[in-house]
Amino acid sequence: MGKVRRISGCVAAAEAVRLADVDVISSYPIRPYTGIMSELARMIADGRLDAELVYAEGEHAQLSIVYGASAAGARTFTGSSGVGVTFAFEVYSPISGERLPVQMAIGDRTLDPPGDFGSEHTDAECCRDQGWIQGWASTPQEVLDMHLIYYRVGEDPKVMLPQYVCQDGYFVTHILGDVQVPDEAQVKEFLPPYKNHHILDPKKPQIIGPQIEPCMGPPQQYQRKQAFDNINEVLIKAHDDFARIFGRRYDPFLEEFMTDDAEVVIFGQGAHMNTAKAVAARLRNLGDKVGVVRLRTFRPFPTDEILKRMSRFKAVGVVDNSAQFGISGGAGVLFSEVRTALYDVGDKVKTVGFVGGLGGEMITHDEFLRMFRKLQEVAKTGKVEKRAYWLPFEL
Amino acid sequence: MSEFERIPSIKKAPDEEYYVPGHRTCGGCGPALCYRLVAKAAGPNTIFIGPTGCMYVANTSYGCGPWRVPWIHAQITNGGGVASGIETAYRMLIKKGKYTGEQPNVIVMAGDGGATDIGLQSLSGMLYRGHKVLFICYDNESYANTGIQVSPTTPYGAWTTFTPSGEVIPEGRKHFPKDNAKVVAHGHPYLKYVATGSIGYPVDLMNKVRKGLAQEGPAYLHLHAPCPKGWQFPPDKTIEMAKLAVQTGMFQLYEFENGQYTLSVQLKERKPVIEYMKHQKRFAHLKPEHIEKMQAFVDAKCAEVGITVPVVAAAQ
Amino acid sequence: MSENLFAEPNLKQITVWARGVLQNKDARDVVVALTEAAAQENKHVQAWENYVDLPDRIYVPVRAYAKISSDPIDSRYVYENDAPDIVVLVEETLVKNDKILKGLKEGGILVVNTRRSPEEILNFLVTKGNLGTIVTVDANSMSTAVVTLSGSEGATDATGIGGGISAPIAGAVVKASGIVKLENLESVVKNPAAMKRGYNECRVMKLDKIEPAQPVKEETAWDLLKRMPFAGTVDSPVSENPGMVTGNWKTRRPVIDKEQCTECSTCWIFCPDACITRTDNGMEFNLKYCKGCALCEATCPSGAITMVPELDFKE
Repeated sequence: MGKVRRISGCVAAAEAVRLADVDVISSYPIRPYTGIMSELARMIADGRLDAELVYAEGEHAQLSIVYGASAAGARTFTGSSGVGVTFAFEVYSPISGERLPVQMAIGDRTLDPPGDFGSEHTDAECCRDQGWIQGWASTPQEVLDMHLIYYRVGEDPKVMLPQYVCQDGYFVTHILGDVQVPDEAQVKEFLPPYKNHHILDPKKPQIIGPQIEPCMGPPQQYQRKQAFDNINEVLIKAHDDFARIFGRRYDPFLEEFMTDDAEVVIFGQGAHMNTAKAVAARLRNLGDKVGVVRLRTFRPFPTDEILKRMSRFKAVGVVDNSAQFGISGGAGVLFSEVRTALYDVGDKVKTVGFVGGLGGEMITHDEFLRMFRKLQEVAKTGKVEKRAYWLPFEL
Repeated sequence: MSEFERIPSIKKAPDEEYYVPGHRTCGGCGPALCYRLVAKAAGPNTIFIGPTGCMYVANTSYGCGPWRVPWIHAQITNGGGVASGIETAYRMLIKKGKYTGEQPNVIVMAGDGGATDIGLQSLSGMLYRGHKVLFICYDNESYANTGIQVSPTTPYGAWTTFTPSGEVIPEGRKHFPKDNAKVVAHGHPYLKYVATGSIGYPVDLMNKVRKGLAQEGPAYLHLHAPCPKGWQFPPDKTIEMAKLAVQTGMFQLYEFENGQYTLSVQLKERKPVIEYMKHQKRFAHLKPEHIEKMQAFVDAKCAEVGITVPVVAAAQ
Repeated sequence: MSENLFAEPNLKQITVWARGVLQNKDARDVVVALTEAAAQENKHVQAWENYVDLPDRIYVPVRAYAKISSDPIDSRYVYENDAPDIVVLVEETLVKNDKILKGLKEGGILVVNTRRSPEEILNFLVTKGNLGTIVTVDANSMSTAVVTLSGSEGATDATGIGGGISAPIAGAVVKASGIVKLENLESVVKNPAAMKRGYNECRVMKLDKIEPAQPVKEETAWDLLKRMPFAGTVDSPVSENPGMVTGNWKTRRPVIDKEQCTECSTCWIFCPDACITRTDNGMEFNLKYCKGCALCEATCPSGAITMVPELDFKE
């Protein structure tokens, strides 16, 4: 067993990359994810990691470099934040389309404007449908673990897809937490070496990424969808093995907190759910039947899990830490998708959307309290007067 | 630079083809010939990166391709970045014992858009980091795959669908072209070899490919590849156009090493640019004053690299 | 029955085949001229180019299409004509292409721009399925092809309609089919004199017997999915790329006079398609892939190579 260290989410991500014996890394600085690359650069300089850090000339180049490196058979890593994530946008679909299991850390940051460094999930959520596996870690420990788990899932022969491991900027990237850093031997047992039979090798020449005729469009896209459909099975197995080897068990899809007899729950992803949990615990002390459900895997979106496990609540409040203007439902993408997932249970479960923490502003205990109170009111009256609230103005 | 085997003549060029028959390029396509010569010179231990352009779309239609060596598509924006990743991966995999074999030649075949315009940043990043990659621009002087639109290397006065000639803009294309070999040559410390080549001079072109691949670090070749569709000349005139471009000084053949230009072809005299332009319908709308402007521009470009022979019109 | 549900009994389809770049404009003009004329007769019309054939390459077979109907056209959003009533070849060697009559309606018409006779052209047809009438017109002697990229990629064609060889070809189509009135076609083409020559001088031959077309089995999406390689990645070819056989692009083929050939390798080095091989028996041409660009003929220093019209050869 490894030892417990107090480290940031950035350092935790870097430790995972070191343990995964990554070969090629591409970097470009942008707050708040930068610390991951600084940490990796230090490891390489000190000889603790045998990888090359390629100083890309921008995020688009970062993704281009790992695209090439992965196609040549290397295990790769890159990362970014905010407008850096969107600058690289062109390259995301080619990476998943060529089925290259690249891994990218996203330390969330608002897009411009507002011009600040604070966290919003907007950046990573922009890329949600590009054929990448995507999930949010809420603590440095979970960051480290999720990076390892996602390499294993993405590189599985049934999957072969890239992965975004997201963490809230500042709240996770910069605030230290207790992290058990595993031994290399444990990681070796969990994560086999990267193997790809569809690579650029002069000994077995192949043509990667040729043009097609329209009739080959449906089959080519369907093949990528089939790979996506395989993820859940592989994800569950990886989490089981992870629990066995490392002794930490996560629910692959939804982490439930104080939900056993809960009537209303807050649903969301990332670090803000830690605050929501604290508020729920206080309310439980008062005898309120409230809980929290934290989404861990955003892509593929666990529609069936949500339908199965959340139809027992009277009211679900979905917190979106993102600005998606004009979206269906009027809050954010999480609200929109949870409502869709819960459509089949009909009017039984009331849903309310909350947009909070924009521009990296905190979502306070008091705000979560107001959300819980609103949900309790909805549960009691059975009426949703207003579908979505932008905090703090509308609630 | 390591040793390399020089090809002495056309007759003694290797028979092996690595760019084989079966591609949807135009009859008489200059860039296709360019690809074939580059592949022939580079040999089997080679990986090609193909940024979007004619040499991606025409070569890989549909669900196939003509390369006997590995090839991967890159976006038109990122040939240099993808090549950087491949080169680094092989270096690391060999170092870490994960690949047994020699470091392959890594060659980017970018069009003028992918090399001098939208892909220039990616090229520069690759060059400055010193990746051992041969970056080739096959220059057909337009965005040809999209149906002939102006690019930075489109000559002054050339018709494209974005630079039509009209009453207000009689010459069509108003700008003089970007000289990408010189753009990259002077500011990248690991770039020791820059050269221009032409499909009209195949032995010279192939030897420059081999010399570029023999460098310790990156090399840049700018290869002139006439386009019968875009320049509007008959497809059996591709080689004649390539040679005339050199003979008029429209395209200058040289190597640039250690801050010095070495001319690859010793011209005794230069033909006037009209001798080249008159065969191409893209210049058909130009008036004498436009031709004069072109001649003056070409004279200055020749002087820059040390082509000092006089311009002599053919005897009538 | 879905066939009946979507039937368009009054719809006429015209498919025009031509050589890329050099004849793209004339192919487009044939369909535009005929549909503009039909529009004057209050018909519903659609003229378009095959999007998948574009960007076109010099000599690649390209297709332009017309639909003309007295009813609104419901099948507008397709890539190809599925069942042409009339097939037009803007260039004669396309007759060797086995796909030209695909889907032809029973008794359909084939119009070919050639100086040769209908009988001669008939001999070259790979399949005669459903063909009822064959028409030849020597359009090249009546007008000159217009080579332009104006009007490509959905932009406006600034050069006018029916100024080139499209005019006599369209005239021949009308003579054989009566699909529009001659005076309406005359009013839309830029060169009505050439159009009328095509109408008057074309040779129309009705076939005595219509051979039935062989049914073609189309691949389903599931078939395609089964043969879809992982992520579209395919093995590199070894000596040739059978996925893109280009031999049917050529209108002329190279013929070498081995007496005159000095085996200097000039033609070999300059072939963009690697279609010349140096052998113990001298230079050999790979006609399966040769596009007929004639760079070998143009660069040969001893004049040993001659380009010969493709229809001078049966095979």
